[in-house]
Amino acid sequence: MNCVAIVAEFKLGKLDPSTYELISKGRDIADAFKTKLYLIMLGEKIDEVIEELSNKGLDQIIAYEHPLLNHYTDAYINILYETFKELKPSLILLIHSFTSMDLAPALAAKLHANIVTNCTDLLIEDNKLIPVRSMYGGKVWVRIGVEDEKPLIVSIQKGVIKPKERIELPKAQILRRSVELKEDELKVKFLRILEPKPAEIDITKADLIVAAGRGVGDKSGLKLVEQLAEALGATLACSRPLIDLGWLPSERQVGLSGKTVKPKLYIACGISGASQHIVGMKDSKIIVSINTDSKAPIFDYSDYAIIGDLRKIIPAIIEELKLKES
Amino acid sequence: MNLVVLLKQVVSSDVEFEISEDGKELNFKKVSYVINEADDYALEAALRLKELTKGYVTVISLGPMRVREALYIAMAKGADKAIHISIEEKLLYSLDPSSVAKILSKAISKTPYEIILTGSESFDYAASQVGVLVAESLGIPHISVVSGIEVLNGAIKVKRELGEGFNAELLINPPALLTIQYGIYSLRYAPVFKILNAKKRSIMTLHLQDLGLSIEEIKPKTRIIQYFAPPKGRKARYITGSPNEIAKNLIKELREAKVV
Ligand SMILES: Cc1cc2nc3c(=O)[nH]c(=O)nc-3n(C[C@H](O)[C@H](O)[C@H](O)COP(=O)(O)OP(=O)(O)OC[C@H]3O[C@@H](n4cnc5c(N)ncnc54)[C@H](O)[C@@H]3O)c2cc1C
Repeated sequence: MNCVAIVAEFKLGKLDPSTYELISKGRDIADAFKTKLYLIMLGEKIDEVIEELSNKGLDQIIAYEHPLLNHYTDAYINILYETFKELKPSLILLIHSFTSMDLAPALAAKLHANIVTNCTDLLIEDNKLIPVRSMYGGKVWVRIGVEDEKPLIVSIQKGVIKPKERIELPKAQILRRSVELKEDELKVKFLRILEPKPAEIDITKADLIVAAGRGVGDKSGLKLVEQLAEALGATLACSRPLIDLGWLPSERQVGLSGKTVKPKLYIACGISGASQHIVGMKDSKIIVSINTDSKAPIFDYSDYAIIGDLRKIIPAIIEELKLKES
Repeated sequence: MNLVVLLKQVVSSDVEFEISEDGKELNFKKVSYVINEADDYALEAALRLKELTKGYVTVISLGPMRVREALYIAMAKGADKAIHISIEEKLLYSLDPSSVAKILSKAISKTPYEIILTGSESFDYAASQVGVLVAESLGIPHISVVSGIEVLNGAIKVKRELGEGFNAELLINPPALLTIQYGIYSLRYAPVFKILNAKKRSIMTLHLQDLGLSIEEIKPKTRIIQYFAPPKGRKARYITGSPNEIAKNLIKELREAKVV
């Protein structure tokens, strides 16, 4: 096997901590195959990030710095394509993210590489790499077999790999490369960042959260969940479809494209447990879920599971809370 | 403006199945089919662009006969033309995103287009690859996870989601491919009478031979070797009984844990 290469994950110009998850996984694989681990980084002011990553278990860092690399555009695809054509890694690792959803398949097409995205793990068995991923909204997991002659590109969900503590970490060799970039040669032109509207509440500060999902059915179902939140003195949050339906403002959304919360109590009402939702709440202290579908993936992440109709369960919980008060 | 929508029909999220003993296949217990939610948003975006630019919407779906239902719904919502790439269920299940992209790009290359739209993700496979692979194979630029589109003179201004409420504003020139994110606009519904009317219209049917593709050429590069039950992140205690019993037990547990 040739080397392993990681593409560093940046979010709004800052290194995303999920990069450490990739480094840990990449190191394990590189060691198992007795090969080198590279990290490729593209950005604007990246000196500090290079310094920060220089002793984290990488053999080499290849860094491209340019004002036009502060945000993802097709420049990323072209630079990485040229880099990988030369480096010839057997494995390229990325975080499954808003960036890699665009970048990873484009690289696979250009490099004629095999690609498996949105993975939950990457195993080594009999000297072969076996990507693991989930399907059907998380109702089943699968192991993927890959033709092995070609380079393999794998994107892994954020938060599924627990970085290992390592003691002896050699310093990485740093290779800074210059790039010539002209804005008018890019096919996708970056204009600006649009910031979210100032929020009225910050759900990340809440101790208790009651969250509503599409299972509320209609606004009267949502009202019930709101009443439960009120009865518990908890903050109301939700999964993405309720934002898309315009029933709640986006500041209430938990998950990959919303907020990450870690309350003492998280009650999920009518939420199926898609990975993009789980990533935003799985570290809550106690998780309770109410769902009519006994196979809903949310139950795999819960401490207390209630199989049932929220329209029957929630009024009973509210009654019970009132009873204890009086 | 010529708009092409790649529309997938998927099993709905309440699907029930059992994993076969050898883990090689799924035995479906309860299946109904729907338009993949993100693709429905892609169709919605195309229909709005059609209204704005006096455009023409072609919808393409790959799959067995059942996918025609999705195409009729798309026509009832306002799509002008539907193309069904007909392939058997069994073959469809064996394909990977790269094979699907190969078939779709062959079909698109016979259709005029300025913007190709598809969903940011499918419910069943959730690889988010097909759109970008199609664009790469056609040699056109692409933007993924699009949450807004504005047509300017010649160019289009696109909002791309970045997470936590942030978006990037980008400029791209057609021909281009956009993968559309949930919630870009609110979805229109197709009333039953319109679906019935759509069923009187014709759907263009293509087979792999019509596209000049052999089975060998669409051979998948990745395949599922084993299905297994998702690992449990936490071991849940199931609280059962009547709603009142459940409520009592739950509140007791939460009081003991000192969270309420
Ligand atoms: C790039 C990207 C980013 C995303 N970001 C996010 C994000 O930040 N947050 C997020 O949540 N999603 C996000 N999603 C969407 C995600 O994939 C799922 O579509 C979404 O989480 C599903 O929400 P849900 O569980 O409420 O709805 P569904 O999946 O439709 O689930 C509804 C559940 O309610 C149950 N139910 C139905 N009726 C009842 C009843 N009467 N009582 C009890 N239960 C009932 C059903 O059994 C089902 O399990 C993202 C997707 C993409 C592609």
